[in-house]
Amino acid sequence: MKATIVILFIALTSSLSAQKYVSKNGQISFFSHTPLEDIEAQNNQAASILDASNGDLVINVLVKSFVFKKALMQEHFNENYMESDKFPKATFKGKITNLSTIDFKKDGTYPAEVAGDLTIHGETKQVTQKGSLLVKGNTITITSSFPLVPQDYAIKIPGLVENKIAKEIETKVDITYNPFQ
Amino acid sequence: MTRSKTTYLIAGLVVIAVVILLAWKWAFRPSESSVGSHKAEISMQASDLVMEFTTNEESANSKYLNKIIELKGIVNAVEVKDQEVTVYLRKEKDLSGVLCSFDKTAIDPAVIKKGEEITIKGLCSGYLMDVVFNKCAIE
Repeated sequence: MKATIVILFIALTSSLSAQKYVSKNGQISFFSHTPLEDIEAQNNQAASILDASNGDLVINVLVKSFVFKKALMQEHFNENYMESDKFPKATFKGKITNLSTIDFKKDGTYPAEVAGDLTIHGETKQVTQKGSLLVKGNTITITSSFPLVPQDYAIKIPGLVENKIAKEIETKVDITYNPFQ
Repeated sequence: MTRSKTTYLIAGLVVIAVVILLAWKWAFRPSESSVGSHKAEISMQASDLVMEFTTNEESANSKYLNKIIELKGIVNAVEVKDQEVTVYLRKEKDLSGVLCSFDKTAIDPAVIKKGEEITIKGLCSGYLMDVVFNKCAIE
């Protein structure tokens, strides 16, 4: 009887041991290229939680943490385009949709597909994206590269600077996770 | 034209050229890597700031976003990356802390010891899992 209880207990806890992973220093960067001007910015404080048991993935970034090389660009970005006082965060809330093809206990690089809601500047869009998931021991790294269209998120680009900002902004995600303790 | 009129004309053009040059330089000025040269608008304990954000994020945002704040807190961790250093200020029993991001030129990570109390200054960017400060400087 005691043996049964012990075995049941071990079985239960091992199924619950599928990990939650967390990152507080995810890197999100974007790059806009036009013949007139190149604009790029980097954010190194993205916060994210990945649940390996069900594929749930949440990524939050603070708009004010994007760093630009030129002060005026950072100001315009925050005050005019993103209105970061009104909308301080951008959020992705979704799932890894091909979870069954990923073995979190086996080192390797796995193609990953995610689907979910992306909220920028107060606007939410359903998105699907492809990326890469690297398992290295206890560490997980997610990388992805995709275009974002400012208009999709009600970001108004004034006619005067239209030619200085790309229609599609090349966005890169690079987040390294550790087990959540 | 008379000699003095020509002189005034040239002087005027030079002044205009200088103004345009200065405006150009101002428009393309680089981002500061830290708020070190600025005065802090608010001074407080890191744990008190964390408490305000975890209690009422919206009210804390309206009070602290964009402000240069001087914080006193206990060093819980120091992380050194390529171009930046992050100092995590968190009291032992608190669940959340303040992530202070420094440009590598603004801090010598070797002098920051875990467990010690330090005073830093930075720009408050908001709250995720912790309060996030950017462009930090050591006080």
